[in-house]
Amino acid sequence: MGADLIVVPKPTNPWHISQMILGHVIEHPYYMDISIVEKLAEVRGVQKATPQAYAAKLELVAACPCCPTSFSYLIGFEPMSDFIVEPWLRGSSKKLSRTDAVVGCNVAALGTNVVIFDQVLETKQVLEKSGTGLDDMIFITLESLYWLAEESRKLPERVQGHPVLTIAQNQISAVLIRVEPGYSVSDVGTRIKVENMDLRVIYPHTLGQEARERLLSLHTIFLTSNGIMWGLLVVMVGTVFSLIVHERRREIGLLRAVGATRRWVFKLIILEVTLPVVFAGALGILGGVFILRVFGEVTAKSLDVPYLWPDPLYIVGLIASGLALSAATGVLGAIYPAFSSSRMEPYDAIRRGE
Amino acid sequence: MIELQNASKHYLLGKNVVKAVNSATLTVNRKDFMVITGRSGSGKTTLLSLMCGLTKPTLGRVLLNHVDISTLSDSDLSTIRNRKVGFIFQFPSLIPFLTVLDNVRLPSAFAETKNDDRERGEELLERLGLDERINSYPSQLSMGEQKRVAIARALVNEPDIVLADEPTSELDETTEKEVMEIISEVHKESATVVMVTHSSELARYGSRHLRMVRGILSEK
Repeated sequence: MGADLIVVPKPTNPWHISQMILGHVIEHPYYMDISIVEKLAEVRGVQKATPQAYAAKLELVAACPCCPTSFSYLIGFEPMSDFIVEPWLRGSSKKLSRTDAVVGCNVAALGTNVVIFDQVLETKQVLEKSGTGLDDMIFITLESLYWLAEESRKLPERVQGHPVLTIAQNQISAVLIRVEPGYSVSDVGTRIKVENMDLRVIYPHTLGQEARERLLSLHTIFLTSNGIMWGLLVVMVGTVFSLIVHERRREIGLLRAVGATRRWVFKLIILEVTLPVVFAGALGILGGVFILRVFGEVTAKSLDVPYLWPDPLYIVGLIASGLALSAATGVLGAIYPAFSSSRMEPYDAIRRGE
Repeated sequence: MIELQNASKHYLLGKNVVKAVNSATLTVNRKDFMVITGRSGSGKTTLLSLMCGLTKPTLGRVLLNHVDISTLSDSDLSTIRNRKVGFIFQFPSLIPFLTVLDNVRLPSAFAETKNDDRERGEELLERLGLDERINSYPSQLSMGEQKRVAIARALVNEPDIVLADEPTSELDETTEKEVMEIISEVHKESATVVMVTHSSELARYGSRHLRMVRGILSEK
């Protein structure tokens, strides 16, 4: 998230923050006064401190009539001190007006309007896809959030199918802190805790732990099963081609009789095995890409983990590695049949092949 | 040219040792047309295979142009089989997915120096009366035609020695005569020919006649 520490009111459960990052909508009812930001900025070792306020939206909302949309959170931030949203923007967030919004890529397109509590917000920036909960969030200035909260209270509750925003003027949910270079993050965190007993300090690197652990166990299962399958595949390729070579002993003997060397026969078998295996590997990769395209997001949702397509260059690398692995499978599987067939005496090969 | 010095070839058949060739001593001179006759299973094919290094002797020595083939590397032996020896097999020995012409040209693929093998192949096939079948596949040929293609293949690299293993087996009388005339012609044109056959009648084509009984070779 770009912060070294997140400071929240003591009752806030850190798990809520991690769920928010994963894109799960959870009510976030604990707020503190914005004046805490100045206090925290003065703690030794704090380089930057910026406030954020989170307002969960529990149900779908309609945007403009032609483009219905939904979002998970309205996040108010303070453009002057912000160092979290700014790096994701093409321009500066300092120019955002009360009716401007920065949205996650799943929320709305650039330039379109998002209507919340009868107020129209213009989409000034769309964030790059992150594969996390950020994709469903709307970022507005703190001033806009307080204004929208006031507007929500003017409307009869649930008239538009969403609850009233309970946040009051000058309330915030969290202060995000960047630690000065040379200072220990945990020391600064401890200092904040000692000086502010009513606050909770969250270390962001622990927030993704759950998702990481889930992915890691999934990754281990995939790697282990793939490793076992690959081993079996090499054995299977070797066995199948040993049988084929066995059936072709006479042909190999004939080739040796008319001048083929052992090395030539060895290379022939390696090539004959490797080519179809690489072709099959390419087909498998194509099939895999197709399945990922069709079922990737559904699978990610059912496993409850963030999902994002990797960089195209990385995908090219993966495809190349897949093909190289196929070739390696072919070569490894072919070594035994190639070796045994090239070692046969031509006369033996012909006689046994008859 | 080819010299066998007490050459034996034994192999295991289950638990039994089969002495396919037993202490054979023989010299094949340049321009010889040697016919070796014997019953099926007497070791004729094994003897022929020893002569061209298709197999190595269990005991004794085989000299090819005064060089012991046991001392040659695989690459050298392959070159000899490719350049110096033409082998006509007893069984249908054509590669089924290659055309007649490609089958004939096959040995040229392994030759170090590439001659115009296509022209040579076409010329041989024409001479053997197969010029109209050059693009056919082996399965489209009669047994006699397949034998003639195998002869053309054995001759494509202009070998010094032609080894023919039962070249007329499974052929009718007319085709047998045709094939034998071709082999005789090859001999007259300068090649040394060693032919093994179970038919004593074919011995008349040769300049020397040997007999093989249960792996033992004797001059007739």
